[in-house]
Amino acid sequence: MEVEMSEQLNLKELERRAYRSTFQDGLWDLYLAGIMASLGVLEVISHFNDATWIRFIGYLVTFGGVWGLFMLGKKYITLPRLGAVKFGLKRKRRKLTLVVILSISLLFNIGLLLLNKGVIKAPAWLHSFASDMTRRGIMDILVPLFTGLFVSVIFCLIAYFIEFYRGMYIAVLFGLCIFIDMSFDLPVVMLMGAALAAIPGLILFIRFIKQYPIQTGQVDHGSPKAS
Amino acid sequence: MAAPKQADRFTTITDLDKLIHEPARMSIMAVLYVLESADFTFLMNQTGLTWGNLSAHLTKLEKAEYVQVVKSFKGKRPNTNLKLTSTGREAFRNYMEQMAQVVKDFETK
Repeated sequence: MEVEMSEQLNLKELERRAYRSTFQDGLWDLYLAGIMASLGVLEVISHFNDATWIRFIGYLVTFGGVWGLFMLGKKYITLPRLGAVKFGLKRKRRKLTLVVILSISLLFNIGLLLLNKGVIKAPAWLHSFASDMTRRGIMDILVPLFTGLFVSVIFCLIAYFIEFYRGMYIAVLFGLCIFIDMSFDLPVVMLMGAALAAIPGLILFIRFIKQYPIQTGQVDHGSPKAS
Repeated sequence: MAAPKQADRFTTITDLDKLIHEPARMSIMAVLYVLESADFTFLMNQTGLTWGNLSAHLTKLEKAEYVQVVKSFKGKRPNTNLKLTSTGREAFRNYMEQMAQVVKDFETK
């Protein structure tokens, strides 16, 4: 990408291109697919043993494992090939906004959990609304729909703020799979969704490995001796 | 506003920073301008320059104190981190302004 004199120097585009190049390795796709697959596997396991502690440990091990693999991939595969980069203040502000949004969603989730477990008393209107919906049988659709939408929106926001637009496809897929899984008790859908999310990731990953070989033979890396 | 005289136009062109005006160095400066910092490998991938070529141009930019070069080791691998100095940032900003002026002057009928 050599900037020609005749070309208009579009610095914004240049920065965006440099930033997006960090997503060329397909590792984000594989990471999100890994989360979906973990959820699917844990759902299958819970059919045989529904103990809360098994679920809890399962979430910790699988999510931690997937995150660990993602970080190892970034460190040992992406970094030596693509190089390291620090982006400017604008990117840091976007990340900070994302952290604030995710924190709010986490608090919201904790609130819902406490409400569900009866630690927090639900307001009367919410209680009567839930009872009414349960009586009509709408709750069976409403809960999966809300959960699926919530997951989709959160993942879409993550994708938007980190400018990983492929992530929006995964976000929609993720939400849809959760909705189907919760509605029809089909954990295999999560595994199928994970496979669909992983395919573009795998293709990108293979292409990345081919396109960016590890730089070898640079004993004095970046030394000005060559001049 | 009156159109610039022919002599003025050439003054702007000759005032251009020749160190930055070279396409490869301009691309290095432009990439570093939009980033906080980057290492040698990242810059090589972004500019499409070969290792030797990039190294040679960086030497010139480093001598002019436009680029700060920090060498370290990441594990056993040598790592060269690069960032624009405030002088380099200012020089590139001036260069862009001058270039815009040159183009504008040429467009003046």
